[in-house]
Order: sequence, then structure tokens, then C-alpha cells
Amino acid sequence: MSVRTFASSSVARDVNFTLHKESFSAYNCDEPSLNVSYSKDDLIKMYKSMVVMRRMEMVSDGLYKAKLIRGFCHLCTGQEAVAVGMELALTAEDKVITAYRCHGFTYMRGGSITSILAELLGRKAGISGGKGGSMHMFTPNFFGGNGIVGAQVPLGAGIAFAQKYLGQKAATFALYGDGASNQGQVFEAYNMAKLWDLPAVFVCENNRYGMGTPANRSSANTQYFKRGDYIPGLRVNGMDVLAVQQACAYAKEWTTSGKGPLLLEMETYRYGGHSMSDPGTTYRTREEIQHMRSNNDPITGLKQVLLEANVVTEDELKAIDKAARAEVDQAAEEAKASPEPDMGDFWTQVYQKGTGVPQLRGREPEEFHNY
Amino acid sequence: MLSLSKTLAMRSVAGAKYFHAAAVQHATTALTMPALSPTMTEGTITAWKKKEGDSVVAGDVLLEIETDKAGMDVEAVEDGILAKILANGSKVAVNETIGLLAEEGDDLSKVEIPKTSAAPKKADAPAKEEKKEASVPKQQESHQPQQKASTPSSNLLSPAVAHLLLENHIKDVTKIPATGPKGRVLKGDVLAFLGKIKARPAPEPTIPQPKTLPPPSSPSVSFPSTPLRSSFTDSPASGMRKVIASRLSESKSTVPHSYATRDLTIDNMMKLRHTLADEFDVKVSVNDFLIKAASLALRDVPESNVQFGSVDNTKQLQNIDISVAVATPTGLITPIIKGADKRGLQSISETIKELAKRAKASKLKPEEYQGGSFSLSNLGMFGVDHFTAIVNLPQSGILAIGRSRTELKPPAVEEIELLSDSELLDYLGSGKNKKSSASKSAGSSSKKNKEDLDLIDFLGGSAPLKKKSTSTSETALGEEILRRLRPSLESTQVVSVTMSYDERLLDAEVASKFLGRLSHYVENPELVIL
Repeated sequence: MSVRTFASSSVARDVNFTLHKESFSAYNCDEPSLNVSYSKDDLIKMYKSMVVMRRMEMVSDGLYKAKLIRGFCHLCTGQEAVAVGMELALTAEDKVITAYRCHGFTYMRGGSITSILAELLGRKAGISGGKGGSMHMFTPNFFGGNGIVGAQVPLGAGIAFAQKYLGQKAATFALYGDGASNQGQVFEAYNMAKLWDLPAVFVCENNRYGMGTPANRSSANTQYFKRGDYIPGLRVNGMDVLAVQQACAYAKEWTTSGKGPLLLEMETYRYGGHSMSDPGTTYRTREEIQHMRSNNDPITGLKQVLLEANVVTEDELKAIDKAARAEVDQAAEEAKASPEPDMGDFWTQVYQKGTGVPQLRGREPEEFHNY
Repeated sequence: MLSLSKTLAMRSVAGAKYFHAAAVQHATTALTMPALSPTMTEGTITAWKKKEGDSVVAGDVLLEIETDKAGMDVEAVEDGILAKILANGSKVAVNETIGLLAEEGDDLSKVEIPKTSAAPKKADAPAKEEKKEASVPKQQESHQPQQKASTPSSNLLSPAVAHLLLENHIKDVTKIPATGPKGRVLKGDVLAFLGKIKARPAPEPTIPQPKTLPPPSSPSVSFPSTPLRSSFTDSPASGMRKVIASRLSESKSTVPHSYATRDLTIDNMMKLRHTLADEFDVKVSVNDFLIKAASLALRDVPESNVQFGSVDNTKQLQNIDISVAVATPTGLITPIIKGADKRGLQSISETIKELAKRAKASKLKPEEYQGGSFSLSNLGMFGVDHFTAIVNLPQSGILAIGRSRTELKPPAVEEIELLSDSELLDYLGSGKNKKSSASKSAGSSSKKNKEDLDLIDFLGGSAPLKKKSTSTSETALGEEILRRLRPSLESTQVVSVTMSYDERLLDAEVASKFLGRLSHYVENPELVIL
């Protein structure tokens, strides 16, 4: 898979916007400027990315309900702005690591739709060969896809450490949710990052519910951007892709200029349940979900902004919708056509080459594989 | 939500681009029965929340589905129009098409219902499409259902199967006839192969024969498979019936039932009832009286107000809650009157009426029919004289009330005045020789008369002696004596009650005491005010 660069620096950034004044809230740092400018190409790319991501998640939803995808499946419907806005602010050298709601990030960081869907279906064309599943997707600059809650945050600090160690002028964005924000290792990561001025941006995707627990029932302090204490923080409207992009660009600049880590809190919302096993309506009302869908949807929001600024016409956007839909459907067909991995692959990729063992035990006491 | 109909449509529409309105590129999407939980295999559509032609927004509830676990809502995943509803009210397997969604602006009249309703397990093209690799193993499977198909998925052995194979040194899995999904070898197959259990008959090939839509069938009655000479029809038991059946069986088989019967005289009660109705316009029924009387009996005999806790302990209840059996169209239910001993008759009457109404409409809350100290069941309105009821676990007993019937009342023992032998002989003797005795008595008539009169007084004759014009004192005495010998016949209203009780909790003495107190209150209804 090729690593795409998102930001097209060659095209002039001639479309200007002013973000809503409540887009940011700062803690021990300055708010980024509300005046943003983009090129038309970038804006359309952002729109298309979000539409593709939305469609991809919906297709996954349908495949899961048709019992083709089994096991865990955590969808990011409604949270597209975070992944898309972040990607525009980053380069290929920056690294991203997140938890299990990772399909959107995998796509933005270079994974093809076919490979993502095939991985969910457990097929050979999957991004991990069909052996990893929903919570085990990686690209050269994306570290997954991690199942254990909050475990990826210290890993993110480690990746930032490696970047500083190797003298790279790049940052690591380590994401976690409001549910994971109270994990102990998160604070250990904060400490090490601040102590050694690591280029780590800790991003809390606050979608208000940790599985089914509302944030105020799980956290004594729900202002997650202030939880870094000695690490400055910034709260961002995570449903506005332009605000997200601006905040991530600001964060990257902050951390790569030697100011140490920064905390970002993205206020976002997921329309679906925590995962496909959760209908998502037992701990919140349908009215709330519908309200967020109609008033705060990231795709609709960007659409309105673009139409008002006369960057695109309605028909052009409709065409983008159709094209995105067709692209995803085509990828779904390819993914479904891919075969399942064969048993020969069952014993591979367990250890890094050169560090393996001569014999590996299988699922049964009597089952052994000799390398 | 991709399924076969869409792929078919896409292929067939390639030549006919203008099938739909120009704004739309693709055909309708099939709405299939979703698997709302990983183990769900089929569901019943209980209600469609949108009608055909309604436009739908992502997140709107389209329909409600009930599975064996729970009822859940199905939301629309994207915007569109509900073009067609293809299934309603019946049990539908997961992945079967239940409706069609179209885009806004589609011409709904041109929406065609796809012939093949079942999306194959791998959601691939039907048997005709042989180009795709995935369909090849399915082809093999559908042709050879008995043998294991050589697909990659059949290489998947569950740990149990792998263990058995290793234990029994079976090297070649292909020897074992597989009956699992996708040609998988199951533990049962291995055991059958080893001869340890009987082999399971192979399942029919489920995949892609083009199926017609299932005909709508009435959910409650299934037609028997043999069309000739079916003398019965199966009706599946409703949830309520199943519960009733299991509870009755449990009670009858685990509770040692004993029975005690008593006839209750309800004359006084009926009199009081009529007084209340006529003079005070208060309507209470015999049943209400009995409920109150039973509650007071429980109060007086607290050893009967117990519940079975376990083999080791009996629960002594503090409150007296009477469950009253009410027949509803779906079965028998026993709503509870709480604190019946403390309520007045009117309160009991109104409560019963209200509870019965709601019970018949199946609108009782669980706490209104679960619990209770004692039950009452009245079949009097059906003309039943007496019957025995089954104890309502974990209560101590149940009172089965029969109809009120008119009976002749034998006089009280005190009223039957028996003559002593000598008196009788005297009478008989005097009767034989009436004239002589008459003259004899006439002789000492005054004395005898007085004696006779005293005798009559002694016999308790408070009624004045009827003096017939022609009667002699002897005849009068005779008639009086005969009158006393002939018992006075009055009619009385009686209700037979049979108490079934749990002999572990109440022994016969307690039960009898209970019935005694019950009778006491029934026959002296004014005592309910105490």
C-alpha cells in the first residue's frame, strides 16, 4: 500500500474561513487562530475522505449484521472529522496510534478500503492478512489498532521518544477515549513525555460515553484537556473538521518546536453504539442521537461551509457522494471475493524474524508446530 | 447492506442505464433481517414503524424485531425511502430480505421484488455465477452435502475435534463425514465415526437454490405435515400458558397436598348483603365476603399465614395478602389484594373489580400477581358444587369455593325434643283407648290436663297450644308431640369450600382451625367489623 500525502502544499491556500469562536478552549497555552485558510483541493479531499469513511463504516455495519464480519467491530460513524482533520495537519513522518475505533484512521493513514474491509471479513486481502481483525490494523506510519484500553498511550509516548532519539522533526499523536482517560498508565505517559520534552500529542476523543457510562459518571474531572496538569491542553470542537485540522497543526508545531507534549481534547460523538453488540440506545435517547446527527454532523457541517463559501456546488458534492459510495461498494465486493487465509499462514508472523522459537505450541496440548 | 439483489441489478442494469430516474445510478437496496446478536438465527417482525413510501433518515427506527432473547429496534443506516415491505409478522431467518429501500427521487412504481430472497451465507452470487472463486466451494457443497467439501473453511477444526482426532490417532480428517456448517467436522461427527454415538442425519444444502418468497403463514397454527386424516391441529403454547403449565406441574409434584372440606351456611351473610344493597346501596358479592372472612381467619390463625421458604425454613408472613383467581382469555392469573384483613368490604370489592378488569386486559404489574399469603378460587358461577384446587406455590393453601345451593336445614339438636319411653308408652297407650283414656283422663282431667300442660311447657312448648274446637286435650297433646317429633324443615343456603393445603406447612389441625374461623366469620358476618 502506498503512503499518501494528504496536504497538497503546491496548491494555493486561497479559501479563507473564520472558525466559530467557541471552537477552542485553552489551558496553559494560547488558542490557535480562528482564521484558517485552505486550498479548494484540500477541502474537497477532506469532504471526500469523510464521506468515504462514513460509507465504509456503514458497509461494515451491514456486513456485520449479515454475519459476514464476526467478533468485535467498533465503528466511528460521527467521529470522522477527527481522523480527517488530523491527517491534513500531519505528514507521512508523523506517527499516529489509537485504540480499537481505528478503521477510519487506518484509511486516512494509507490503508486501502479493500484491505480494511477484507481484514474485517478475515480474508487474505486484509491489511493484516486476515489474521488480525478489527483491532489489529497497521500501516507504516500508523501503529494500530490496539485492543487493551489505554495501553496505546504509553506506546505513543515511546514512539515520540524514538522520534526525538532519532532526531526526527516529527510528532506522534496518541489517541484515547474518555473511558480510557482515567487509566493509570496514561498519567505515567504524561509524566515521561513532559519530563523528557517528547514530541507527543495526547488526543482524548471525548464522545461522552465510555461504552455505556456517561463521562460525568466515570470521571471526577470531565475537562479532559486539563487532566495533563503540567501539560498544556486545548479543547476542540471535534465535529468541525476545520477546527480539528487547525488544532492538530497547532499541536504539531508546538511539540516539534521543543515545547514538549500537548493535550488535545476532541469533543465528538458517535451515532452508533460502542460496538456492534451495543444498540447504543439504552444509555442515551434516540432524540439525542438524532439531534447530534441533524445539528452537528461533520459531513453536513463541512458541506454547508463549502456551499456557503461557494467553493463547490451542490451537484459537485452529490457527485462526490456517488463516487465515494461506488468506490466503497466496489472495494466491498473485492474484499468479499478474497479467499480466507490458508492454514499455512497460521503459524507465521508470531515472532519478529530472527527472534523466533524452534517450536510453537498450538491450541491443544498435543498440537505443536516446528519451524 | 450489500446483497445479491444489488449485484444482480448492477449487472443487469448495465445495458439499461435509464431504468431509474437520471439522478440515481443504482437500483434499490434490499433490507435484510439483521443479526442483532452474534447468536441470532431468526427473528419475528413485530411492527413496521414506517410505511411504504415514507422517507427515512439515517437513525430512524424502521421496524421492531423480536428474537428469542429480546425485542429490538432496527434503525435505518442511511437516508432513503422505504419502497416495499416484503415481510411482516412472520419468523424470518437472518439475511432474508424483508424490505426494499430506494433513493430519494426513485420511481417507486418500477421497483421490482427480487426473486431470490435469501442472501447466501457468503453473500455471493447464486449458483449461476461461477466466475467467483468463493462460489466454487459452495458449488461442491451443494452437490455433495454428505461429504466434507475441500474448502479452506473445512480445515478449521475446533479444539474439541482436534483433541479427539489426536487422542484417537485419526490422521485423515477427510474420512469423517462432516455435518457442520460450511462442511466443518463437528465433535459429534468424530464421535459418530468412532461409533460412540449415532450419526446425525446430514443437513440439507441450504445455499443457493433460488427460493421463492415464503408464503405468509398464520403464526399460531401450523398445518400438519400429513395432509390426510389429521385429527388434531398443533397450537404452540403461548408464553403465559407455558408458565402456568410449569408452575402447576411444579406445585402438584412437589407440594404434598391435603384437603379439608367444609360447608358454610351463608344465610346471615346473604341477609347482610341484601340489607347493604337495599338500604345502603352498597354492592358487595359473596366472594368479597369470603375474601374478608379468609383474611380474618388467617389473622386469627397465624400459623396458617406462612409461606414455604425451603426445606429448612418456613416464612411467617406479617401481612395478609389474598390472591384471587381470575380467568382471563390467556389463562388463569391471581391478582393480589394486599392487606385484606385491614380493608373494608367495599375496598375489597372495588379492588377486585379493578384488578380483574386489568388482568383480563393483561395489564397487571408483576408485583400485583406475585406473592400473596393465600389464594381463593371461586367456580360457583359455573355451577360447580365443589372442587379441589392446586396450591399456588409458595403459599400455604388455596380455598376452592363452590356454588351456593339451597339445602333443607335440619333442626338444631336442641330442638328435637324426644319423649321418654314412659311418656311415649303412655301416649300410645292412651291413643289406643282413646275413649277410655279420655274418660279416664276426664276423670282426673283437671289434674292430667294440668300435668299435660306442664309436660308441654316442660318440653319447651313456648308456642301456645292450638286449641282445636273438637280437640280433646289428649289430641291436642298428641298433635303437639307429633309436631315436635316432626322436624321443622327450613331451607338454607350453603356453600361448599375445599381447602387444599401444603401438609408440610399446615397440619390438619391448623387447617381445620382455619376453616373453623372462616366458618365463624361467614356465619356471623357482622363480626367482620371487629
